[in-house]
Amino acid sequence: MSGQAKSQAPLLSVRNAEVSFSTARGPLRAVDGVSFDLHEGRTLGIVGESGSGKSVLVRSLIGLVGAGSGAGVAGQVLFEGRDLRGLSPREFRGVLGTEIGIVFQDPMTSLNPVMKIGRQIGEGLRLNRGLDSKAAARRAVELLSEVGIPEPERRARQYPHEMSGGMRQRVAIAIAIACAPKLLIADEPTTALDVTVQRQILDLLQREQRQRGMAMILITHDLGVAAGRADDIMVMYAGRAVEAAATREIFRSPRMPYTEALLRSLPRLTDPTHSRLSAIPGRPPDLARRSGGCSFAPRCSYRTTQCDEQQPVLTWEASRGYACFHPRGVEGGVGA
Amino acid sequence: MSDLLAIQNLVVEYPVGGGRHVHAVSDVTLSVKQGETLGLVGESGSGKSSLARALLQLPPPKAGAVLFDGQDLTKMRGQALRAVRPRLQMIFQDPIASLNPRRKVSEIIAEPLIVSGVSDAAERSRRVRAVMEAVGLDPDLVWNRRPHEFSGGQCQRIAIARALVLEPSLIVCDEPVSALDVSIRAQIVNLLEDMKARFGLTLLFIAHDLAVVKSVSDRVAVMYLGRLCEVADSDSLFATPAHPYTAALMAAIPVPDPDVPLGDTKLKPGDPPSPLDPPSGCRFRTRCPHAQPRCASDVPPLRAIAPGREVACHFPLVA
Amino acid sequence: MSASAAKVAAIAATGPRRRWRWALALPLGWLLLVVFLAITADWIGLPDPSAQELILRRKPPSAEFLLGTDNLGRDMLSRVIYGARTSLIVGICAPFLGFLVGGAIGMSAGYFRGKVDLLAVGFIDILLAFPSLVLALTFTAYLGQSLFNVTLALGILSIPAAARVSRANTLAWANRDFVLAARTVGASDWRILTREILPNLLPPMFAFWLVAISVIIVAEGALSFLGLGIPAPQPSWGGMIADGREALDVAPHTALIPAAVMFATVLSLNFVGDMVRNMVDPRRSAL
Repeated sequence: MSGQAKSQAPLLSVRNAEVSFSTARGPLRAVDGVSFDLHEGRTLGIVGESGSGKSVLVRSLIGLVGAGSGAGVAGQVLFEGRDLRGLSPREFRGVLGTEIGIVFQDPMTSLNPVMKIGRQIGEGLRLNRGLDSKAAARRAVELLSEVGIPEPERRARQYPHEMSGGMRQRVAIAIAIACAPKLLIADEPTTALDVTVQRQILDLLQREQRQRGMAMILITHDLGVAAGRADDIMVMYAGRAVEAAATREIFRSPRMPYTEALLRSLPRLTDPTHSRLSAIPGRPPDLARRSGGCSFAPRCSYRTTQCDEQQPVLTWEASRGYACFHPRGVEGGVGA
Repeated sequence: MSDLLAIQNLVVEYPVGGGRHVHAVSDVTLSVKQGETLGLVGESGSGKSSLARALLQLPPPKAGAVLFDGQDLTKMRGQALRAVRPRLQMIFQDPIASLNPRRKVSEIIAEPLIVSGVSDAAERSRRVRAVMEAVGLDPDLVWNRRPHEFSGGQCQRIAIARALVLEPSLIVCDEPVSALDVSIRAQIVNLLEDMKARFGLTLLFIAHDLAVVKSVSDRVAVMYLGRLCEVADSDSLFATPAHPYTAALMAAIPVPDPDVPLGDTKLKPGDPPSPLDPPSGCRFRTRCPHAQPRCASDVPPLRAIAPGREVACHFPLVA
Repeated sequence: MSASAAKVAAIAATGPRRRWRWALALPLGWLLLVVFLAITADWIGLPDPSAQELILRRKPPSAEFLLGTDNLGRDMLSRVIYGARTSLIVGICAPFLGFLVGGAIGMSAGYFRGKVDLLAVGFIDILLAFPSLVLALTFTAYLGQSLFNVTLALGILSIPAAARVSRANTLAWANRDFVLAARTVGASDWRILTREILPNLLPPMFAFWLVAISVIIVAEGALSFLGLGIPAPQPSWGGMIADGREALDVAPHTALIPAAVMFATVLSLNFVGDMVRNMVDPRRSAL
């Protein structure tokens, strides 16, 4: 991710992001020292299982997880060189509405059930772009047709519950791109949808991203979704970034044993029926009871005593990074 | 091999008020052979879960027959039905919701034994221990704990143990891995395969994830909006899909390989219609790129196009 | 890094749960005290709550009479404590009765749905349509004033609320997959109701019962205030407030003390009810 477009300053630069929650069993570090850069026009896929911290990380960047929700947040977030963490809530809202657009997993909860679709899309334009209601309504209809909703004039007058899940997600995308943001964050945008609809929504996101030259963060648990849509991928496990590289490198030559094991465990249509899946033993660690070593060590087949005792940090080799003492496919690593 | 389960002309409809009905399952005929795994694939609204519940008589279907080992379950009531139930078990999508949060793991797994009249407590605990070990749970560690103390994958193991403890003939697996984490799914899929071999089970494996279905199923049935599109053995179905919907479904799966290009969607743009008001004729025609006028007027019957291969399409992709 | 870790630790230590827990000691302590005194009233050397000493009437609190005396010169402390006994008996038993009947109605309605539900909801609605206080007044006026009749009247009044709570909870639980799983093994309706649903129903019902106790204590007070509560001379908090209002100008303590005690008890019950609701949720207590 830092390999490309090095000449330019990144659009979004995150350093040592941390998010902690206090629980009855003690503090739980959901995100632990994650850093990454995102350049203009690129798509970064953040891949991880539930509890890996991928959603919490991104929500903390845009202030959706913070002091108000009982979480402790630390680290630096620079968006176009501005420190987002230093903004007042008012300034932050301005940035969120206009420069960063967000699409959530469940459009049913992210849309206001008692407000007409057209008005919801136009809201940001009136607040942030100073359009009058007539102009905002006109623009909302244009946006609806842009995101592929048939009969946009009629749909603009409907409420969210009158639409299907796929349509609602299109509306959510229209809202997110209404003010022409430079960064679009899509948090599991298709997890609640059927595969045939998922395909259409991902196509739409990708088309809008390319046409508008937006940068995009695509958060997903589905390696298949990330493979087809992301330029770069950051793999998260137990709150940490464990591997980051260009998409092809992640899939062709994963360095981190977790990435490798995950890719191997996936069933594929090209495998014959009843071929045994290579399962990863064990389960993700309890974040409230972290060990001092690598979080993946208990499940890893290359584990040594070093892995139990020391926490590997994300180290960079040319344009890719991994947090592992025994990286795969590297001289000096196991199985090199 | 003979049919362990034969579903004949099954119809499931739910009233939704205003005199309208959800046509969840319309005239489905399907059989599961002794010892095989039949994969049932479909998206939401396809009726695959309604079909599963109807064949277990939870609740009984509106019409049609469900022959299990030759007996029609839809004609059975009360005690007679309860006596057959232990032979047909189910594993659910959400492993946490499928376990009673107030009961201990050992009680949950012993419950089917109590209900079916195993009154000897020592015998019960022996069988519970044995089945726990079979599914990879340590009896001494899990015995007195409650479901919320476990992860989703562990809960699914408990649910599988509960389904196995009565030594059933058929297990209906309703999306057994889709609520689980990616790194856990393979464990549970492998466990189901192992249990099938060990206990000689027959499985009806319902899922929307084609790759998982392909991996476990001998034969696969594809459903769309309450009707069967295609039934075939697993390898030929995925090698040469005959129904345009099967082809579209395969084209839509995101492949975890960046070098596989995103092909044509094989679909007309637009959303799936509502099962409240399914299209006339072939229900897939509104999204089918090959639709002809005939598709709107005639319902395509499920017909054999090759040995062991049935398709419900006027213009199948495989002649 | 270390600065942020310290910040995180500070947040963890002053988390809202810890403060919350400390604040709960007060209402819980108060309730325990009230219950303890109500039980041991006969053995702690209190003067007879009914003994009149007309010369010493309407005395303000003093060393001799810690809470003063009432209109008839009876010891207020003794009356408040014996009154607690009456109020608690009514407060605990009446909703218990209501919850037994209402809980069963609600459970059957939520589990069997259909006609059973229609019938039960109809019954509940009819019961709710009666102005509750008028119903209780009619009841005690007709059957006669006694501790038993007041409890019965208030118990009947708590049926609809109990039925609604149990019906709503049953509806939610009966659709869970574990109920379906119990059916697939051939469990009978009775077994599913008692073994699968009831254990999940008890905690919210218990929490609601605590709140209902406070409502009933107030309702008993209202009945007494209207002269149709527990008959004299048996003390009850409501009766004491009713007696005290006559002398509100000259001896305000005669009404204010029982009112304050009732207020503190009702508030404590509500606090503890909330706490129990949070505590008995297995998922929340696990966190």
